[in-house]
Amino acid sequence: MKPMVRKVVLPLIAFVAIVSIWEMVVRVKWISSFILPEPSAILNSLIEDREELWGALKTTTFSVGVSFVLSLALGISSAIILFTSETVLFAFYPYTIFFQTVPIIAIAPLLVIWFGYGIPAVVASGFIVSVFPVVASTLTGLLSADPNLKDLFKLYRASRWQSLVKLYLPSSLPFIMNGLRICGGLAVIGAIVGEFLGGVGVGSIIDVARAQQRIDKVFAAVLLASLLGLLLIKTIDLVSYLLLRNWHPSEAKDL
Amino acid sequence: MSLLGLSVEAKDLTKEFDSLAPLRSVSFKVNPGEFVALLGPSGCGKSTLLKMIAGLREPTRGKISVGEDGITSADKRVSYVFQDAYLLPWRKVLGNVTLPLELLGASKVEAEYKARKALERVGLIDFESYYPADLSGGMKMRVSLARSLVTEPNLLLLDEPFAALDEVTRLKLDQDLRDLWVESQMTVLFVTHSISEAAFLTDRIFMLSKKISGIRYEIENPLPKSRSMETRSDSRFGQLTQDLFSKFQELES
Repeated sequence: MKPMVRKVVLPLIAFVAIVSIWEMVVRVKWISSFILPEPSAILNSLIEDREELWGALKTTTFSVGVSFVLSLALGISSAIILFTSETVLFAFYPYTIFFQTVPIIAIAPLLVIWFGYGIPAVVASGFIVSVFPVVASTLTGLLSADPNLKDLFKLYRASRWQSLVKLYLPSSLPFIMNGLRICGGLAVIGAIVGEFLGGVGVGSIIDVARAQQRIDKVFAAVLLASLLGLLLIKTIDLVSYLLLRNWHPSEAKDL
Repeated sequence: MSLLGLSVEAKDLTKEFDSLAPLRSVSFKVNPGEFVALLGPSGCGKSTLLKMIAGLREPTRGKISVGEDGITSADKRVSYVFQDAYLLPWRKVLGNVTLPLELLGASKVEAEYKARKALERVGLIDFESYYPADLSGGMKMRVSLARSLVTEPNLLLLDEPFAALDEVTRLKLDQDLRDLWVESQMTVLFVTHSISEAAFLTDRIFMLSKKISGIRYEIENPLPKSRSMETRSDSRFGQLTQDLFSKFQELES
C-alpha cells in the first residue's frame, strides 16, 4: 500500500464513515440529540458561537503555552539539580512524585483560592499535572549516559559543566522529547480542569454550556481543546524529528 | 611530532572484585616508545588493567606509574581506544575528533585544524561532515582512532579495538596502526585475545592468564620494525604464533 493511501486516504474514509453513521443515528432518533448531538449541530455551534469560542481558545492556548514552558524549564532544571547531587536526589525525588499522583480535580478549588479566578490558577493547574514527566524523563536520560563515554570525558579531565553540556544533556535529549510529548497532553488536561473552576477559556465554556444543556456547544469546545492538544504534540514531534533525525534511531530518516 | 613516549610501570598490581580477583600481583615495565601487547583470554582482567593504567579505575593494591619521575601531569597525554568506537552520535565526524581538544581547552580553530590532520592520517578527511550513524563499523573505529591521536598522545591504550570488525578491515587497521606507531614516538599498549594480532603488531607480548596470577610470559617479538602483509608469511611470524599458541594452551589447561 502506498504511504499516501495509508496515512491520508484510509483515515479520511474512516472519518467520513463514522461521522455519517453518527449523523444518521441521531437524525432517525435512535439517540436523542440532547444526549448526543449530531455532527452537523456541533459544526453549527462552531460557526454560530465562533467569536466566543475563538476568544476562549486564545485564552486557553496562552495558559497551556505558559504551563508547558514552565514545565519544560523547571522540569529540566530540577532534574539537573537532582542529578548533580546524590544527597539532593535521595532527599527530594520521592516528593516530586506528588506531582504525578495529586488529584488535580480535588485541589483545583484550592488553586482558585490561592491565585484567584483567571489565568494564574489555570496555569498553576496545567503546570502541576504536566511537570512530573519532564523531571522523570530528563533524570532517566541524565542517568543513562554511556559509561564508556563518561570514562572518555574523565580521561580528558572534563569539568562538570563540560560533561553536562557536551555529554549528559545531549544523551538525554531523546528522553526529554518523550517526556515533553506526555507533558504537552497533560498541560491541556490540567489547564481545562483549572478553567472549569477558574472561569476562563474553553474549560469555562464547557462548564457553562453543560449547565445550559447546550451539549452541541460542549462538544464544539471539547473538539477545540482536543485539537489544541493535538497541535501541541505534533509540534513537539516535529521539533523532536529536527533535533534527532541525524543520530537517534527513534527518528531515523528512512522510517 | 610528539614527545617521547611514556614509560609504564606496574608493581604488584591487584584488583579485587566481589568474589574473585582475576588480576593478582601483576608487575611489568614498558619502556618509552615501545609497542606492547597484553594478551590473554576473555575474563582475565586485561581491560581492567588498561583502565587502571589510564587512571579510570583504582587498584585494590599495588602501584602504577606512568612516565618517569618529574613529568608533570599536563605532559602525560594519555589516549584510550575502547572495544567499540563510542562516538558521540549527535556530533559529526569532525566534532567527534575535536572533542578531546575542546575538553582540554584548545581554541576551535586549533582543534579543527588538528582534527583534520588526524582524520587525514586515518584516511577519513572526506567524511568530516558525516554523522556516525552513516559510517561503517570500520570507519567508526578509524574516527575513534583519529580522536585518540588528535591530542598527540605519548601513551596510547587500546582495548581490543578491532575485535568487532570483519577480518579484512581488521588486517587493514592493524597495518595502519603499526604504521602510525612507526611514524610516531608514542608508547602503545594493546589489549587483545588474538594471537596473530599480538604477533603482527607489537615488539613485546605480555601473557596473562585467567587461572594464574601475574604475567606468566614476556615474549620478545623477533620481527623487523616495519611490518607489512608479507610479514604474515614470514617464517618467524609462524614460529612466534605457534609458540604463543602453545603457551596460551598451557596457561589455560
